[in-house]
Amino acid sequence: MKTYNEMADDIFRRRDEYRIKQKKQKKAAVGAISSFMCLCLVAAAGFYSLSNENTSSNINAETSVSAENNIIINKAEIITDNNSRKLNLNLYEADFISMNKSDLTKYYGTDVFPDVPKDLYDHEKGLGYGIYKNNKGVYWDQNVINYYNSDTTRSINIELCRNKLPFSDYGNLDNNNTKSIINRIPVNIGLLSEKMYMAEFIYKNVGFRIVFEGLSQEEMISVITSIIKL
Amino acid sequence: MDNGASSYRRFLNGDENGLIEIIRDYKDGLIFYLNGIVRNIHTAEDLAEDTFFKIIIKKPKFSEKSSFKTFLYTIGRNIALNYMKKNSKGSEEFIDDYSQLLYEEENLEASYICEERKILIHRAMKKLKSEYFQILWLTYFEDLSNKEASAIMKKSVHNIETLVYRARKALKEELFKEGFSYEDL
Repeated sequence: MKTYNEMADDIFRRRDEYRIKQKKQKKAAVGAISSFMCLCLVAAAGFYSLSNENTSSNINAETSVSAENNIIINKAEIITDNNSRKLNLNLYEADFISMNKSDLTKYYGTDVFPDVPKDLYDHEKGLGYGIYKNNKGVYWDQNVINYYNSDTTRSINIELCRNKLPFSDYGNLDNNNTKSIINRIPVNIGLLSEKMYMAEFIYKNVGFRIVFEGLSQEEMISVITSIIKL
Repeated sequence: MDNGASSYRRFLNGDENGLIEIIRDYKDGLIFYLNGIVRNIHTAEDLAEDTFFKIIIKKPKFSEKSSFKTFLYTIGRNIALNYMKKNSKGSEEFIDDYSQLLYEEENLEASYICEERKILIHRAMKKLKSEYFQILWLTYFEDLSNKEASAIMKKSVHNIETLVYRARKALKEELFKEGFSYEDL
């Protein structure tokens, strides 16, 4: 027969073994769950990648490889009366289809609303977006998204449309400029005036032209990278 | 006498000495009680160890409405009954080392029960059926009340009173067979 000390020692030893076993089981369970989650993530990523492949061949390269940004600032030209462009298009009110932010994102197939500095906010509050469509289809889908600070000394003006760069009546960038590379997408960036940048690029078959006023170069790049996602 | 409750409280508060004290104070009595169920002193010792192990792992709540001994013996009894269910087929395996069992049990008797007359009663009790042994052990050797015994054995107090009466009667007959008078003891 065991003495009480021997029995106590045996019981504490059994307890320690039990705890180690419990820890191992817990670890194994966590490992199994983690593996399963990883598998799910890989499967989801694979599925996402495959589904995107069907909509745009460009995206494959954009999403699969990380890239370092290379920023080149060119010179941009402000459009004046002497070099003004004409739209030569009649937009009929009856053809206008109003859209909210969610509709717009759905229409363009990508999130076109960037992350902007905290002092800037959307003045339109999501109103006034839309496309013009007649019986032949969409004939004008250029939209403008504006962000301003409280005294309008800082602003972001985004013009966008599908499949091409939007029509511009404000600034012009030479298409032969050396492009910056942001998240593997070529971006034509120019300086319009002091602290006034302009950037043009096509991402996921959507053409963007963005004019930044009063923003630093870092803030500008940050806004662009929030649109061009890796 | 029941310091088990305070020892258990100390153990729950992280003092392992509390459990050592419980083992020291209750081990032998619990083994004897469980021996009345499983009828094998080695198995009873293992089951007593399992009882303390359960306490250390599960840390069951002790309401202090009953004595600590009642609480402990209830856990021990449940463990023993589970053991009996699982091992209902074979008890022959213990027959070979019967003399060793008897020797160890007698040693434990001598150290725990001490009094010669109680040892004689204990030996006679072992010849009774399990329920009689249990109730006599709890009430006569462990000084538990009928109410406490009823909590351990999961019977009503009225049933326990009847059981005590019948167990004493059976013990009397057993002692008489062996040449003792119950009243003398």
